[in-house]
Amino acid sequence: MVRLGVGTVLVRRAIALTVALVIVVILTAVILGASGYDVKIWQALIHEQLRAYQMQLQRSNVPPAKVKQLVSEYKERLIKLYGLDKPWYERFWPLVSNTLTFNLGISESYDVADVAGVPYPVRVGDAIMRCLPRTIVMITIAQLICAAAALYVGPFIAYRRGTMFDRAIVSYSALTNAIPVWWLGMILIFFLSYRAGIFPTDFRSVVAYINNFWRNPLMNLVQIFYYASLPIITIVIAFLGSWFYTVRAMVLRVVREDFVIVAKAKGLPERYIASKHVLRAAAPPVVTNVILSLAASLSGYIITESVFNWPGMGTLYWVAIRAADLPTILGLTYAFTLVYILARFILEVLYIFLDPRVRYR
Amino acid sequence: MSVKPPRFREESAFKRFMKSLGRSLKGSLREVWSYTTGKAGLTLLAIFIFFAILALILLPPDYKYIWNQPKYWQDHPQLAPPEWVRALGYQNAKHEVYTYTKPVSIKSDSFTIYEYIARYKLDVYDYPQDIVVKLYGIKVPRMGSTTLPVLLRVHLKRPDGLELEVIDTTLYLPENATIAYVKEPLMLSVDRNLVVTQFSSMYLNKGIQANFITTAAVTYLFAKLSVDEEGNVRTTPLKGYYTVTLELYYPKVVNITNPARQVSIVVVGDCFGLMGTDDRGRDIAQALLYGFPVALAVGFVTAVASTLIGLFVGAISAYYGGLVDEFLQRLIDVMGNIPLLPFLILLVDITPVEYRLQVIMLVLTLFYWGGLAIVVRSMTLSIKEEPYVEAAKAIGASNARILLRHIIPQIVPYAVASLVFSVPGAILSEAGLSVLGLEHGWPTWGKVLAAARLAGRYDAWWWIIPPGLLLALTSLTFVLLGMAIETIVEPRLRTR
Repeated sequence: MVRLGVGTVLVRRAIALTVALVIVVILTAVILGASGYDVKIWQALIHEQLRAYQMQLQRSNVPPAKVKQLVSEYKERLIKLYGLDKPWYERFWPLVSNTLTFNLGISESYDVADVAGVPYPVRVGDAIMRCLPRTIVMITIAQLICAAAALYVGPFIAYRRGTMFDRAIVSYSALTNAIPVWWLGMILIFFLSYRAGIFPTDFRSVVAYINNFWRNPLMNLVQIFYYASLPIITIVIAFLGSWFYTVRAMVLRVVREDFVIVAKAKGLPERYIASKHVLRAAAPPVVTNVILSLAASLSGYIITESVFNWPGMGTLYWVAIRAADLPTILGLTYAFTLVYILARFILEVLYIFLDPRVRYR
Repeated sequence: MSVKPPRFREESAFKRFMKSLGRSLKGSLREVWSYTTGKAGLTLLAIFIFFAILALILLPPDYKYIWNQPKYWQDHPQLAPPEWVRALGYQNAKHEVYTYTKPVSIKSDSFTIYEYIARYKLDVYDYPQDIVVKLYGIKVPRMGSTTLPVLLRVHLKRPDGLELEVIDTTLYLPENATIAYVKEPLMLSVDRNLVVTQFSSMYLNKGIQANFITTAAVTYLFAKLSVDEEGNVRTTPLKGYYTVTLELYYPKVVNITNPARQVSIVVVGDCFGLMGTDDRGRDIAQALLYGFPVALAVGFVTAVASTLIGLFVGAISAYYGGLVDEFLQRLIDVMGNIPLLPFLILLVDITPVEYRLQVIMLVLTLFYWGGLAIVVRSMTLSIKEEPYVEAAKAIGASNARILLRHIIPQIVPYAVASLVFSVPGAILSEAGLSVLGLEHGWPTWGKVLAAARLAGRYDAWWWIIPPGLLLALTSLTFVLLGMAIETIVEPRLRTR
């Protein structure tokens, strides 16, 4: 076995992850290009412009033969302008390289601008920066709550395996694991918003309070809390069970290891074993879980956001797909993957501290 | 060196294999059954399979088409809760269908008049949504080259004695038809203008100018009316017995005993069936029933395909090692970095509607095998070092034989657990994409929910709760089964 230094290991991982990132962006572009997804949109646009041009010519009494010629010339100009005369891989290459160098470009869709809540046209980077805080307020906070609760309770239930409490938690996690979070959202909106009237029925109004947050932070915080609480409650109810179960399973795996049994046999106090032996060994998988979940939460939950009509990252992506807005689709795919890959790299670095085996690999 | 056994022995070996498979399946089922989670899971699974078969028997093969055709749902109430809410004291008018194969009475006048009479009891403070008559195989007479018109009249007699024309129309044979039957069922509902005209003139005769509106015509039929000074019409439900009479007027020269194969008078109520209806009058119970076979097919096909890929790729990756291993591992790595849901949505969106369900299944299959392959690889790595594998190699067994006979059978139990756990994934993904608004044309549970969401009717509980519950129950079934199987294949997880 060749012994590699920590630095070499990290560099190799970084290269592998970067390659994966580039492949994902290229793959997205290839899917969009090879399927002729954008061509349809462009053709509709060209058709529209040609008709307008023809009308204008006819109105200014240009002879019909001349009109035909002018229109076909204009058509060729437009095709060249939109790059439709080139094969898709040539058209897409600049888009891919621009995306990879964070030059995300400008969105061509009114809907994307509408979700972002800014006048058309909007830069893709700006749209993402507008939507990210909304997703953080809703999903990342909910996941943080889940993580904190699971880290606090998980080890506790692992130690009380087989008790009523443990069984209750396992049943709860099996149950919530089965319920789709977006359906839970619909049901809670029905009962708590429509029937009981505790929560709002229209969640999109939260945008104003987030956009103007610094004008009156305290008042706006209260308003944001009012709008975000039901989505947060929904996500916490839906995911808490699987969080409990995962942390419990991770701790359980360690509790059964030989070195813990030896420590017990040595007569070390339970508390000491828990903090020095068990937690130490259970830390890497638990930390992995926390960091990857938080990273994933930044991409938004497309379906849940759409149920709550919450204009976050997921909604932005969905609207971009509906509008066939290539810069936004590519930019968001890039952002989603980048966040995930960064999180994985951070984990690689953290392992050096958490898991001694990495250091002596 | 390998000796090929004679053919007949191979067949018996196959039979033996099938027998042992049957035995082991029976044994495994018994073992799963011995756990509480297993019992619950297997029971639920049996119920699901029962409903799936029921759906395949009961529903016509072109149900997907029927579901999307508004004309099939005209005689259903729209957005109506289930019928049983009446038992809970809700004020929802009953939905009644009166079916006749021959007329109730035949009168002779200057015409021959065939009458069908229905008595409807309005017993709650509510208005029915419509009155519909359906005629199957109605005869339209023909004399030489001209068809003779048939008059169709429906009138309603109210508990307060008032009698109103509801439908008044003439039936002709379609011009290019050659037979004297109308094959397509004929469906007619309340003529709104006719009703409003009668009410208006009735009030005008009393010297009152009232604003009757056509959209509320059916409500007026079943209501006590009052008109305020500004001419606005106020309605309160009028309880009691209503008589609906359908009359078919045939010219005397025509001599028939039965004018139609079947006639239905439908008083379209304000509640329907076991599960209610959606905003287009479609029976939700039917869609939910149809959802069973679709959901099970989507879930199982995806799970089986991805598990098989994961099993073989993992085993091959570990067994051959080297470049093959490196390539497959990097492939899994890259796939693991792709944001699945956004990618799936993108791929489904660029697919033509009729192939979307298949594309969902295909994409999920391609994404799901990675996780299992990693586990299988690590298991194969240790199994491959076992002495019996070495022995098999020494005898001269081929790589394929070692993989299929000695390595994969060891991993199959784990693969089965993983398969069972992955069944709900595809079902939930399909539902999620439907809810998002991606059309695929099939009536599935997700599609029912999607319709509710698109209509913005979170308040129609009979529309949003049952499909979600079924989705949750499906996942629960496979989670429970998976937990039982996992306990069997991983004894360390046993609590007792």
